[in-house]
Amino acid sequence: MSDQPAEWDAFEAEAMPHAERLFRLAMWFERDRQAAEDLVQDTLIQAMGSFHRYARGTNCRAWLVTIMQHLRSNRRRAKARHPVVEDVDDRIAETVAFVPAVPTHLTDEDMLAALERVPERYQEIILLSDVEELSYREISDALAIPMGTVMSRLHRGRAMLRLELGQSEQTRTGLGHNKGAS
Amino acid sequence: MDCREARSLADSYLSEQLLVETNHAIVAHLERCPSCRAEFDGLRRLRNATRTAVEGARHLQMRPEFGIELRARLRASATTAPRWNPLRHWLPIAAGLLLVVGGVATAAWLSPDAAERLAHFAAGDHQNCALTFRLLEEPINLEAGGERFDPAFARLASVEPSTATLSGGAVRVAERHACVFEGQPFAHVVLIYKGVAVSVLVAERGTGNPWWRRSTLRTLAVGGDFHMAEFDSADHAVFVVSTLPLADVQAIARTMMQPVANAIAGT
Repeated sequence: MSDQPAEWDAFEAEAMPHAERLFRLAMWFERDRQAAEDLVQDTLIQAMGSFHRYARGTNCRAWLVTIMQHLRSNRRRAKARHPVVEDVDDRIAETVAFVPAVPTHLTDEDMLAALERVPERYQEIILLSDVEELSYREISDALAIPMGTVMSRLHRGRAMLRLELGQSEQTRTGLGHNKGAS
Repeated sequence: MDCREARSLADSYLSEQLLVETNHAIVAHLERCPSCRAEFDGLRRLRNATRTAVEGARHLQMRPEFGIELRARLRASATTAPRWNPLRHWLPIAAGLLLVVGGVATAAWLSPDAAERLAHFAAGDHQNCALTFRLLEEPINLEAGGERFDPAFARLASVEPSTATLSGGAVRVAERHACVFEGQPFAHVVLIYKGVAVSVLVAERGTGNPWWRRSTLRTLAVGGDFHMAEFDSADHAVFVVSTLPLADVQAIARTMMQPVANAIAGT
């Protein structure tokens, strides 16, 4: 047996089980099925070409997410034709003065709607941490940002998510205040 | 540990990013503080609800047909595209043996699509390596590239353009290295001509596919502000790409044809 089929077998066993999760992440950010499919395909082609550099036994999903984020980042820069500007929100990461309690009843629709209203840089962190369960270090590598920024964005992102959920609940119940704030 | 400290660590606690000792301190605090316990429970509920909602969202799910197509495309790509292989230096020997024994050469075939993709990778490498460095990994020197990717790369370590046919002044070598763009390794020589960067990118094509064999120079449309000329040399494709006018790119490609051919052939 030649080594290319063997290499494919290893790649298929290690990386392909993550394709669906990669797609979900790509679809969340691209908001377009064709663009998401292109992104996932390009990610996996690049991963396959670099598979010899993947350290077996480490988190393959985190490695694939890193490649996908690099591709997204490059494409975004290429479209914008200028570097991504500094995220000023990171400097005010601790300024969410009031955070309502998490509502007791959370529907999937409420959660998705609230998450979509949070700025994308915070969505990224929340998804990578809470859905993909990457460690702070893995998120830091994937997004090429310092660990401290990961932590502050996650904190602020969750706070914004709670604010959005609190506002949804106010709208639904007609109450002018939040219940059970701690 | 007080409430303020415990809550400041809540995100890291829920993400299981804390040291064991800190975890114990938080658990001890939560046992005696109902207010913080409610706060942590709320955060845990939020985290679980986020995961459940995203994982269950039908509009985010992959089409089964795409999964099948993707697997087929990747498998085909794995068996046709020339990629890095730690045993690559054994392949010429194996191919030679097969020729002697069976009279049949095994060949890595490139479809026209794969050839076009290679050209676009070359343009992407010029953009993301020579002009603005945005590659996933640092380039390595050509000698190391020869060990890792393709023995021909090492032989390009001293290649110089022939300046006999250039009318626009001196051309100088600014940089030589091996780099990888979108999984495709290149030997990359960066030239400066008329003050503008020109990339000469060499990639292995594979053997045995007669349609691409050309001894002449041709130009390729790769979009953007780039002009590209391409020629073949002993199972390798050589791309010359720059934002210079096409006539200049072609002139530089002509100056590189013989030196690159000699270098790859080891003569």
